[in-house]
Amino acid sequence: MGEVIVITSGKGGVGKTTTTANLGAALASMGRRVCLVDADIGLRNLDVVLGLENRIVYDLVDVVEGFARLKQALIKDKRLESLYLLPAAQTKDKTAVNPQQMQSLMEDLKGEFDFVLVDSPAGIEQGFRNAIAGAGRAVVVATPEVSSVRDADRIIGLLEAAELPAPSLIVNRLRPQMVRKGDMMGIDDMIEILAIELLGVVPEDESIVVSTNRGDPAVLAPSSRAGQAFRNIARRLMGEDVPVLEPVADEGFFGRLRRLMGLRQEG
Amino acid sequence: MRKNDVLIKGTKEGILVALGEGDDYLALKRRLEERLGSFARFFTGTEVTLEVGRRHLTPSQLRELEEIITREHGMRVLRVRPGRVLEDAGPEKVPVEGRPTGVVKRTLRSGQRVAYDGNLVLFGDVHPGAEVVASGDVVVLGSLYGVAHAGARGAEDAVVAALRLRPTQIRIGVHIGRPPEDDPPGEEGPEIARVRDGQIVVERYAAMKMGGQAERRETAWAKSS
Repeated sequence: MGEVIVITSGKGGVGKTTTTANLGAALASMGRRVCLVDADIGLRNLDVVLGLENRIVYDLVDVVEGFARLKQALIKDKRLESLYLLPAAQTKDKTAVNPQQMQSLMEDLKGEFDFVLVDSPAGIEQGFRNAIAGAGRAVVVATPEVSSVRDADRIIGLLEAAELPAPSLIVNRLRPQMVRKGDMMGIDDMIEILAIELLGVVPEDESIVVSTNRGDPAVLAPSSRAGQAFRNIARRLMGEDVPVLEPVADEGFFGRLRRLMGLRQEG
Repeated sequence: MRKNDVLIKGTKEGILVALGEGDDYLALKRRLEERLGSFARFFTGTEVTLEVGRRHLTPSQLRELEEIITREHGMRVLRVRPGRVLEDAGPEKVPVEGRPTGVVKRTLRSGQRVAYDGNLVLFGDVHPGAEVVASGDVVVLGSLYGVAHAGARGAEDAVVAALRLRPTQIRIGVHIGRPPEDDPPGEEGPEIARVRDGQIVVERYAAMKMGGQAERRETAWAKSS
């Protein structure tokens, strides 16, 4: 039996979909059978980020309503053998599905896959309730901003109320240089407020913009720093003990030189 | 219209389901299920006007018919009204050219869907994430970026034409095609997609003359699973 993990955040634009796509690709590249579920009915994105939009024939709502069998709706990734996508419907809205239907869908998927990652819509309404139905575990994505942390806190409360096990946190788009200067909230500050376990830290990385627009997950590019962070998180999800390292600012050539020569003044 | 028959028609206001006269409720119900069944999931999510005509239905019968439309076929009953008696559009296997043609004048944005039982001409663009569906031909006088489905009830000879044909996916009858991944889009200008030898092919439209063949400069598309 596989595990159903919901990726959620409350606030929009913090990187749920990017996180879902990259963790899925990372887990699949390590040989796990993975199904990504886009629970954002009416505003689907995961297919675009994975570059699979033009392969959609049936979607989640078709499966739930019995128009299509689950196997017909699952789209196999074009790069990774063991990665599949169950796309959301675009011409329907969130009320097309209810939590009971999602739960039984997740039961079916659990039998087929090692990991089922559910990309939750922003917000706390029915779309969110659908996304968490049937999940055995939740991952909360937050960026180091007051508004994002506030929404994450609200979401953690709702997850507790829904009796899911304590969620873990992915800090996304961290800019170490700004943290060092005191211009951005640090990881410790976020953990202190949210009081949940830290699953990983993903640094701000421009290459994510490129890979997202191109429909190619960053984890598949060996040089991407964010990709490396997502690979580490995937290994933690698989139960490996990979220490969480706080990303360090890229200090540049002269910075490194100064440090080597012992001239560096720490601020 | 025959007795106890059901007529389904695309109109400007969405789908019209008109009930014919007669006093055999069970035959009518069976006919409604049969007619809707022949459309498969073609009309899912569209709005329906239910025209009961001069037929007398009890409230529970009416509720039952509404439930068949909404529950089993995923449509929304927008209004119920007594109607004029309509003529049937004809037998189900009308060739593409003999079908009625609907005209839509607006741009379809992501998530919007237009379905028409007949040929469909759209003055506007179809954005990615939007869908145009017709049982006959689909003609887009604009750019087609989203999904187009022509011959949605099985007509293999239906075509999709657009001034700028850059769709996410094209479906004709039961065939599904998507643009070749590595092949950069061809030159600008109107193009037309049709089924040839069980595969969707796209060719330039400009050279199509009266009775003549289109210039054979076609690109075969990848078949989608």
